[in-house]
Amino acid sequence: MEKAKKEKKISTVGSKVGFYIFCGFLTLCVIIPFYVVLVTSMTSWQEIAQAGAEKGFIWWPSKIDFSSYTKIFEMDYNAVGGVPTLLRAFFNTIWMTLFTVGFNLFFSSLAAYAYTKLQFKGKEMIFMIQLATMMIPGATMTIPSVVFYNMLGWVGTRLPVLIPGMFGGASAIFFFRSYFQGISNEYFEAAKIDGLGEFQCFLRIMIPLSVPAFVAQFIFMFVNHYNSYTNSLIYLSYDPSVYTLQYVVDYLTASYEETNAKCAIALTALTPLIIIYLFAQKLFIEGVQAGGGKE
Amino acid sequence: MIEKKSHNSIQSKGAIFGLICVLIPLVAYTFFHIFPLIISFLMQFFDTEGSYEIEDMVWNNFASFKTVYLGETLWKALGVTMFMVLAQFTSLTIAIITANSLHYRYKGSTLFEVLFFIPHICSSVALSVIWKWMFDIDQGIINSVLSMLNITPIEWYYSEAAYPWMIFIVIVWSSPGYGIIMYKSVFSSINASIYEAADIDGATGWKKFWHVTFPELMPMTFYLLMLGIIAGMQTFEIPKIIRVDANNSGVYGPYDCGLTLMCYIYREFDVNGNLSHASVISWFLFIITLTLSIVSFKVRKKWVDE
Repeated sequence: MEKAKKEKKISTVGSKVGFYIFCGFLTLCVIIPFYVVLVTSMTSWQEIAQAGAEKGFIWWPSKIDFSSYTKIFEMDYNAVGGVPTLLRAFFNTIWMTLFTVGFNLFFSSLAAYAYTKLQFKGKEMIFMIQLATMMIPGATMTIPSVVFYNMLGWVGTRLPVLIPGMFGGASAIFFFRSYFQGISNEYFEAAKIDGLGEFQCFLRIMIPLSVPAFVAQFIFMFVNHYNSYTNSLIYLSYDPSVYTLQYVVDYLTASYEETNAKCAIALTALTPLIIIYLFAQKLFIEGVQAGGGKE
Repeated sequence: MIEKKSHNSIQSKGAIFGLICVLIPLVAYTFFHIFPLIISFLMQFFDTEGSYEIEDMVWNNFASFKTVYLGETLWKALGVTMFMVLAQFTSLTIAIITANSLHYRYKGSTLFEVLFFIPHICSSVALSVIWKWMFDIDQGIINSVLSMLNITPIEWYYSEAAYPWMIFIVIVWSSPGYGIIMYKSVFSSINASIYEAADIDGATGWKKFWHVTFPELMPMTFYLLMLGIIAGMQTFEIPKIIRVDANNSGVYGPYDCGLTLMCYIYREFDVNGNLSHASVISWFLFIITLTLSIVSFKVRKKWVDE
C-alpha cells in the first residue's frame, strides 16, 4: 500500500514535469513569431540592411527605433482624403463588418425564432432544406461567382462583399435555434395575451432574453470578417478608398522593401483583435465554440 | 364561433410572418449561392477570352475540360493540396495532446489555454507576412538559429523540397487552437467514474488514454477531421501571401510546388483571365469537398442518433 502510494506520487511529479516541459515548448512556439515581429518592427532599416546575411537575424536592436510606425501611417501615394491607407482600410473593415454582421444576426435570429416559437405549415421541410445548405462548400465557388456579380452590375462596388452575407446563414440559425429552444414559451404566451404581435415578441422578449447568444455569435462573426481577405482581393482591389484591412496588409507589405515596416504593418493589423481577446477571452472562446461547433 | 374565427386569423397571420422569417435566409442563399453555382457550371463549356460578359462567350467544345484535366497542373495542385490536408491532421494531433495535458488542471493551465488560442484569432494574411520574414534565407530567425547550431541554412524559397514545408509549418502553427478548445469541452464532459473504473482495472497513463479517453473522443475527432480536410482542401491565403512574386507572374514556388487548388483557380482568374478554366477547377474541388461534407454529415447524424 505504502509503496503504491509512493509510486503514484512519483508518477504525478513526473507527469507534472512533462506537462510544464510540453506546455513551455508550445508557449515558445506560439510566442516566437510575435517576438520576431515586435523586435524587427523596432529595428531601424539601416541596421537590418547593414547586418545582411553574415549577422543574420537581429535578436535585439542596438537602438530602439519606431520610425517604421511613423512610416506606415504617413501619407503614401494611395492615401485618399488625408487619411493614411492603413487607417482608412481599418475603418472600412470595421463599418463593413458591423453592417454585414448586424444584419446577419438579425435575420438569423429572426428565422430561429420562427423555427422555435411559431407554428406554420412546411416548417420541418424548410428546416431540412436549410440544414442541407450547410453541406454545400460555397467557398470553392468564390472566384467563378465573379461572372454572376458582373451580371448584377456589382463588380466595381462594395456590394459583393456587403450584401450576400447579411441575410443570415445556416450555422447561426442552428446556434440561435438551440439557444431559443431553452427559453420557455410562457413568456410569449403571456405577452400575446397583453396584445403583443409576433415581431414585437421577438424584439422585446426574445432578444433581451438571449443576449449571451448574440454576443457569442457576434464575436465569432466579427473575427471572421475582420480577418477576411479573399473577397476583398477579388472585389475591392480596384480603388484605394475601398480597401479593407487584410487586403492592405498584403498590398502594403508587398510594396515596401523595408522589413521593419512590413513587420510594423502586420503587428498593427493583429493588435486590435488580440487586445480585445485578452480582455474578453472567455467570450471569445465561447463564441468560437458556439459558432464553429454548429457548422 | 366568432372568437374561434378571430383566433384562426391571428394564427394564419402569424403563419405568414413565420414563413417569411424562415424564407429570407433561404431565398438569399439560393440567389447568392445556387445561381453562381449554376452559372459557373455553364461557364465550363464556354470561352470567355478575358471578359466576364455573357454576350462574349463562345462554345468551346470541351476545350477547358481537356486543358485542365489532361494537364499536369491540376494533379500536381491536388497533391500539394493533400499535403496541406496532412498539415491539418498534424495540428489536430497536437490539439488532442495539448487538450489532454491541459485537462489535468495543473497550475497555469488556464493561462496556457488563453495563450494557445491566440493564433486562431490572428489573420492568416498578417501571420503569413510574419512567417515570410522568419523564413527569409539570409536574415530569417529560422536560418539564423540553424547556422548557430552549425546546420546548413535551408533555402526555403529556392528548394522544391523545402518550399511546401513552409506552408505546412504555418498551417500547423496557426490551426490547433480551435481543436484544443473543442477537445477540452469533450474532456471535461467525460464522466470521472469511467476513469475510476479504469484505475481499478489497473490501467495507467497511455493505456488509459487509448482505451478509455480515445473512444469518447471519436465523434469530436471525426468532426474536426472532416472540418480539417475541408479547410485543407481550400487552403489559399497562406500560400498566396507567403510566395515571392515580384512581377505578378503567378508563380507559387519553384515548379509550382506551393500551388494549391484554390491558388490554381485564383491564378487562372487573376493572371490568365480564364474563368472557364477557373470554373472547371472550381467544380473539381467542389465535387470533392461536397462528397466529404455529405459523408461527414451522414456519419455525424448516425452518432447523434445513437
